[in-house]
Amino acid sequence: MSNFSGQLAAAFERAAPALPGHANPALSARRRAALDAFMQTGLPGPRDERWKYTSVRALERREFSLAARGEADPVTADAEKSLALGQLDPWRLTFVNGRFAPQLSVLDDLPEGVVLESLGVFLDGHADRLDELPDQGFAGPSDAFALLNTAFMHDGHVLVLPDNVRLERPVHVVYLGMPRDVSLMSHLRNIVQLGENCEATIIEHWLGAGRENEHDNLTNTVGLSLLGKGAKLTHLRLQQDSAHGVLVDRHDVIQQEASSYTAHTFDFGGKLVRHDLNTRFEAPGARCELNGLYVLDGRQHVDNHTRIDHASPDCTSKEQYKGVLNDRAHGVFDGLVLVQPGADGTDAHQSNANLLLSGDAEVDTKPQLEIYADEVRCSHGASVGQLDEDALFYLRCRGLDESAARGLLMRGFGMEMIDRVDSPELRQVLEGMLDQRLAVFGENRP
Amino acid sequence: MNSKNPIMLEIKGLHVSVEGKEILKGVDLVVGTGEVHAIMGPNGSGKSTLANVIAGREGYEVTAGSIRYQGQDLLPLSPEERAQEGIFMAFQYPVEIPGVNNTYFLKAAVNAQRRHRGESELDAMDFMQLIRAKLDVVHMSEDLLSRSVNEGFSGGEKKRNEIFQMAVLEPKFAVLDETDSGLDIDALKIVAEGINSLRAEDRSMLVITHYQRLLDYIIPDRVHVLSDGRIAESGDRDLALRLEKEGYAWLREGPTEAAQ
Repeated sequence: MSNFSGQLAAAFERAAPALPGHANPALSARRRAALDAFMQTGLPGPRDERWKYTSVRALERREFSLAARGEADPVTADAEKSLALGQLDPWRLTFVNGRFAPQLSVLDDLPEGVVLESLGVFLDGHADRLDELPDQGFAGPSDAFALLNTAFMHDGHVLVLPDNVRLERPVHVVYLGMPRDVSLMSHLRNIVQLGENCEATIIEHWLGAGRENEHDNLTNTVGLSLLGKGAKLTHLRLQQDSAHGVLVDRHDVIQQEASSYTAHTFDFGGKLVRHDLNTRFEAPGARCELNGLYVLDGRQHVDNHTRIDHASPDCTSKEQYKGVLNDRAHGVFDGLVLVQPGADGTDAHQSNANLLLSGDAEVDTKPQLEIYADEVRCSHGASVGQLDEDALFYLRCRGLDESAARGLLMRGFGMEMIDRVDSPELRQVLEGMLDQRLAVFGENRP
Repeated sequence: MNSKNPIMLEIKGLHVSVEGKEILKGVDLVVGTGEVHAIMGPNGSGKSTLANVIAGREGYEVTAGSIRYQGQDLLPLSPEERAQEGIFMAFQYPVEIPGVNNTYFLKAAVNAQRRHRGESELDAMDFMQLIRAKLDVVHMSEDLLSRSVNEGFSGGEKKRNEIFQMAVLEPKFAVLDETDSGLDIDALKIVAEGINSLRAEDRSMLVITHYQRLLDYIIPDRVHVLSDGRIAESGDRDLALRLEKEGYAWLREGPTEAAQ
């Protein structure tokens, strides 16, 4: 047993009696089984094809404190201000260093029948109602971080919409990291269930406050979204973790007939980030759109794995991820589009485009199509390049100096992804974030 | 080459090579302030090279000669310094820049030039007022402002956007590189009218074109024929009419007596 595993085993014994839902024997058994399964496999290594370009071995040398339950850490006025999203007035669940912070959350005026709660609160209040939450889609045994998450999940968010509910306000879920004197590990589990013809926007937001934090927090988020017939979910994923933050994030989406799932993943922060975003069409006529943008410098490492499972006919998927990489940043894109036997009428398009601004920056891109049906329209492609010289000259001919011209082109490259967000208010927020990101772009980061 | 007006641009003995191949082989040209000169010439004569050298494009190596602009040596200046000093090039092939909003780009350009002149930057409101007033110059529809620069624009819209930018940036010296290419007759008229409306006593233009057609609408003060990297002929607009009738073939036989 590695040091890391030993640490975890001991931490589990200490934490288990107080984990939410501990009164439910089935849940406790599931936690223990997940931990045992993790102990068998340990963290994924370089021989695991899915972790070929992203090493988490360094985690094994770290000491982590488990983000136990209890009162949330104090939040500075600045950090509190950073929760705001421009003109938007969202419902909000804020987790500070993994702990639910009711005073920083807004959960009033919810429509009738809508459940929007912290998972901890839900399980404490209704450990017997665990069966009401969907059990599917919990990660398989080979996924080490999902196993850890199942063993330790101490909070997260639950959103359940009965049929025909359209949420007028977005749901903003913030994982706020405040500097601490120890490295924290938090495991958050998120469950979203949209009934038939529901419509909702969820903004997941990994936000690291305070660059002075010298500790590598590990945030492990695992989510499941179930979309009923005709349901429509817009899922923004804003990753602005601290410069020392380690994030492992997995989200599974299961879509019923004619449902629509749109994800926009923006990676602006973090030190070591891994996303797994998986969608599966369970019934015909559904569509998904996966958009992503990563803007990286210093020694940032961001890995986006996606899997779109066309398990039913007549579904449409559109995927585009774009990356801007400077300094010694490392980006990974691994996207699988799987067209199952019988999934005729599939329309699937996938692309990944990267701008490499430095000779030391690196990107590994692997767009994959696996097609086992005949009547399909599929395309995929990847590119890695530099800024367009003709465009640079054009801008300079209008009076912009070289650095301003380069900045404008980088901004344009990113704005293409921001322009895909429907909400003008959100676009404005994102535009501000991109500008803020590019303003310090290329300054030496750790 | 005499010019009654103070000199705006003076090119002397200009030799330019691209990838080691000599394209311009001794160009002499003087453009006075407020004048419009046309450069005509067959394909491959060096017209676009001349435009790009004035704008400062990389890869165009000046091996001999000089370009002076308002008495200043132009060649050491970067493209942006030239633009800030009042030089504008309307591109033959305007570049599409996805994701860069037309208005955002123009505001950045206007303010870069204002900063250079020591003027205060325009805020969003003043800027919108400025550009709305300029839309009429080329009958440009306002919704093109909120689109990405040239992306998905028709050929005509791209050329109009160039002249619109010129109207907003108010250069002292404009090089129009085959602004007429790819335009149908209606679009050509609109663009030409826009250019005419921008003629001014303190602004000079170099209109580069393959066809005489554009010069039916923009009457130049002088016409120069570029052939094999040199100015082979200069004259008034009658020279353009003659080229229209006789083509460029006679140039190969050398300058005619009439032109000497």
